[in-house]
Amino acid sequence: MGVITEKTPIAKIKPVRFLLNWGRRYSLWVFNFGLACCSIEFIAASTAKNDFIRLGVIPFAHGPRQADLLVVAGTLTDKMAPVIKRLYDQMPDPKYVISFGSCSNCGGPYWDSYSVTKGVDQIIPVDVYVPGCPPRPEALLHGIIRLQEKIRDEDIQEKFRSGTTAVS
Amino acid sequence: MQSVTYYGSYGVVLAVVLAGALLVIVAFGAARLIAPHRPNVGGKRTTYECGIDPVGEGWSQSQVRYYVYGFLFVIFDVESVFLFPWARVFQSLGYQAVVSMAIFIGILAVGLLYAWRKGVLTWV
Amino acid sequence: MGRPLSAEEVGSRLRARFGDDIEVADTFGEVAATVSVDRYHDLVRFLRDEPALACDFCDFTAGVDLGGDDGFEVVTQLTSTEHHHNVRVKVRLSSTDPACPTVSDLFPTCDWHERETMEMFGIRFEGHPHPVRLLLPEPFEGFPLRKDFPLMSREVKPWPGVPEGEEVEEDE
Repeated sequence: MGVITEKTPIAKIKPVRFLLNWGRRYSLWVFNFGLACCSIEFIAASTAKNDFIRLGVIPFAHGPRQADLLVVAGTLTDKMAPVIKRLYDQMPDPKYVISFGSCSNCGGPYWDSYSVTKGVDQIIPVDVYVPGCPPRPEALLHGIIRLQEKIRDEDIQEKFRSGTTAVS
Repeated sequence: MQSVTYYGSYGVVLAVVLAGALLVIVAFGAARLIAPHRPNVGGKRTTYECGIDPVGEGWSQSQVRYYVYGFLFVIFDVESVFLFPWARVFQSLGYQAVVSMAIFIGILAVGLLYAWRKGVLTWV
Repeated sequence: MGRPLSAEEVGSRLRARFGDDIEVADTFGEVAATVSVDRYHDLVRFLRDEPALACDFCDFTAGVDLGGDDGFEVVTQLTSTEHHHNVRVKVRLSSTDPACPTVSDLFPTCDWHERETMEMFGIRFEGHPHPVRLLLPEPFEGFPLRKDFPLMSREVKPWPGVPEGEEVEEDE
């Protein structure tokens, strides 16, 4: 299992690494986790005007088990925190997380609330933060492009050898 | 000459089967080689129920009324299996083939009429 | 066939029925009736059953923490879909052990509204069929919408506070 990527140094050879990263970054299937107002902006980014399918990101995965990208759009409350942890765990590796909007970055306008988790990175590791309240759909496209650049420069062996799925 | 084309057509079938098997082997083999293997991290193996702990059993019951669909499908599917090779060759066989097949379809049409009159085709 | 009643007419009808147990105020053309705890249920029933008032729709039931010794208040707004007028009912409760009879037997909507008020303020609704928490997660302790509920953000530093009560570092 994972012979090429985990056990042998083949994945470090430049052409192989380029090929694997290229395949991974242009075929993201997003499990959108729309919680609040930011999910409307996410949906707007999936419509025809600002289309993120042209970046290779296919929206509306049928469940966490068929997704590689989790976009947390909206306020994460304390009651919802174990749910998102469970869904993140059920996604197959390699997986990436985009935190979309102020509420999931840091608690946003509800930073002093009794029931809000101040930032989804307290629960799951985040790769790209997209700021805004709510961010424009173009900001999501920018965030996806940043994620794709991050995956391009990624060493998948180091990612899994370190034991966590957070990329340095 | 005729025996070569006879086995030749089976050769085509074999090639198609091999191509299909090769496709599956390459796809799953590549996934095995490239994909990381992390089966037991966190709650990955738990049953999916929108992120909360699953409640109740995983089995659900189907309604018995759906058996009618399976039943009718089998009958008319077998009929169409006989129709396809007949359609390929009947033009060279003359009117006798048409009449035989018409009798065959007629018998099955009587069966369909019986099912219709029995009310099997209306939803309950 | 609806005939909305003005604030004075509603007030006069309520005063005629309830006398001294009720105070009626006209707030921007709408009626706000403050009633004592023991007549609350009767008042809501009267508002629902009286044909001229016919308040058959409950908009909401909410709680107010007036702070300190002023106690709590339960506010219920009832609307008549036939006559198109609203009546707001207020009940003053004490600050220690606030308790109020439930109106969920008259308006099933109030069932969930009262559950939320119970968990947010700690007001006890007597006779409620299912008094369990509705929105707050299981391990939550305390009544968050009370004025004396300590917010973690303001514990370390007063207004505006810091996120999660983190220590404020001294700038050089």
